[in-house]
Amino acid sequence: MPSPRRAHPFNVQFHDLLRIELTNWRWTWRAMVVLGTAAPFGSIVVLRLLLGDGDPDVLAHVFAGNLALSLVFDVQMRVGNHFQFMRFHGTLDYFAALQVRRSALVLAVAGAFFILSLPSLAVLVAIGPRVLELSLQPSPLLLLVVPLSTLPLTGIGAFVGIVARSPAEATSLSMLIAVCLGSGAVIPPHLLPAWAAALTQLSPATHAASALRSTLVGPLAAELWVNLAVLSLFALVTLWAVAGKLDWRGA
Amino acid sequence: MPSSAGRYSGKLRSLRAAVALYVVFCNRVRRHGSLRGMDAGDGAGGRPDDPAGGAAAPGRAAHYPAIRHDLSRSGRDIVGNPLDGEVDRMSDHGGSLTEKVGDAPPVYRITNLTKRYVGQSRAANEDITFDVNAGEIFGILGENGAGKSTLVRQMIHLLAPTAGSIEFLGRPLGPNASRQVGYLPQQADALNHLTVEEALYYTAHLRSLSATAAVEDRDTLIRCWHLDAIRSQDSATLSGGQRRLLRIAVAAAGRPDVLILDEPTSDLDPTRRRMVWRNLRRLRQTYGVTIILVTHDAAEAERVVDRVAIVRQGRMVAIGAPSRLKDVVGRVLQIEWCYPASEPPRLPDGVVPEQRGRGCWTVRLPWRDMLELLQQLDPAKVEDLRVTMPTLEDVLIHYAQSPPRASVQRPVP
Repeated sequence: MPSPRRAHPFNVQFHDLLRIELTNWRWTWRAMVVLGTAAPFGSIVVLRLLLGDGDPDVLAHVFAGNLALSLVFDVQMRVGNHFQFMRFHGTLDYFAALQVRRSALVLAVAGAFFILSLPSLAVLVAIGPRVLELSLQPSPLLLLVVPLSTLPLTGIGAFVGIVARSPAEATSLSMLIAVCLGSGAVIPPHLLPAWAAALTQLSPATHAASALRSTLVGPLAAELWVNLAVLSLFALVTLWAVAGKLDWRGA
Repeated sequence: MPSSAGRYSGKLRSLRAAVALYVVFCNRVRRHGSLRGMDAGDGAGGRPDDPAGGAAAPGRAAHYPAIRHDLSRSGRDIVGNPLDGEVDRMSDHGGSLTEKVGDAPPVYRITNLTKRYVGQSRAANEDITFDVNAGEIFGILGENGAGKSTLVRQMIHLLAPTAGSIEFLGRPLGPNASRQVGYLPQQADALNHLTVEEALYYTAHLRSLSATAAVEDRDTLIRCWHLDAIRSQDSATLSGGQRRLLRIAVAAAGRPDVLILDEPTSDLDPTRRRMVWRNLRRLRQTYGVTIILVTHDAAEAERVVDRVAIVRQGRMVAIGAPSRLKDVVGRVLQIEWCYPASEPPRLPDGVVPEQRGRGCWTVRLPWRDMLELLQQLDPAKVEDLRVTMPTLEDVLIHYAQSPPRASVQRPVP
């Protein structure tokens, strides 16, 4: 009688799955960069025109908010669409039949979309400060902030992708959430009504924008650690919910 | 325009040929018990390095020790002809539920399996019991929506049964066991934008092969399934037939002991279809790979499977060798002939044909009465003549038209 095959360890599975996810996008990553850059860049230009030579703090807010908006488009929406594609086109069944670990798949998707979001982010970091006439003072903490900013957005996107009852529902829901999250991050809070400004604090994109502003423009304040803590909490809760909800072995 | 004499001799030749074929057919059926095996001559002679034929490649053979062990205990002839195995009991439809092959445990033992989806009143699978033996090609046949895919998803550990059990090689089915099963999902887009070689490599690697073995396996599969010309192509851009071949190759990647193929040849042209069955038979014959074929195409199933389970409305209504299942619709021959409409033939007493269009008739007769009927036909007037046996399709239709019934039950040992 054959002995059951032992699965490769988690790291090997993760590595394979990450490469699979990245190679899946090799044909379209350029379009992704353009799309991921276009909306935030347009938003930066429009707000620059509206605000004129405004308060540097407001301009820094606009800049960081649009970086977060880029992450929302590149990560949250695309992860949502990707998970619904995997659900409705048999890719989840394919992976499940290979008995790879759910957590390895979810983290591989998160990793892939984090990597894929970097070109858009780099383009915006290169162009945005020139348009807004900002000087950057990047902190090494940026290396922690950027991945931590993408994780909750990955979790939200994946959750939408796996709970939506149809591809159309997933797309609509993703778009609605993206607009809600993104607008809260882009518009400076003092321009919003008090209740709306309070609501934006429930959005991970707001905390991502705040953390990106601190680590790119400065100053580094205690608020950064609050932002990182909130982002970590969002990441844990959403990814845990995704791993639990993923219809890997249906009831 | 051919002369009437020419037409006459042509028809006479056709009729003689039909009768001669019938005699050969009868002899063959008497010898073998069925028509199966008439197309089985293409199962040998693969290249030595071909995993789907010929001798085993050194690395590859080592991945099938268990199945070879089972074969050595049971004997290849038994696997080649499961009808020779010990039959526990014939079901009430002439099929056997458990046909033991020597002492080898079945690859799958499914017992009283029931699957009920939340919120649905009717069970998707109800009280299904059967075994799949090592090295056999086992068909799961049923109409669309019969519950075949639900059954298969439970067999590969993608769905949890509501009740009942599934044993794989003598152990409860679990994630590790199902890693030995190669599954071809129905959806064509599952591989997303991986190239052919990436899809094969990653599948083999994730099925627990080492990186080196996965590369070897990938190259062998590309060669065997004639995918070399498209090995670097995005799988999403392949034609329907190429995609289907890739998916079969992906199912076979990683050297699984069992292949579960859902409609494996539905998009393929006849040449590729033949190649698929040739390769699968070789996999079975050379390595003892067990193949479970899920299909609603009874004609295809009949040509290739050793045993078949018929599923209807979630219940298994029959199981057994196709030749035995045909007993359900009777051991009769169907004769169709076309004759000048104005001069219908005189037929033996008691033979009442059914008219199928102008000048064409059909009748079902016991075998012994067929020659008598043929002798009544005037070769000069016969325009067309066909003699057919009941097919698995007839069996499937028979069950589809029967009232729903309980699943066939395994006898209590």
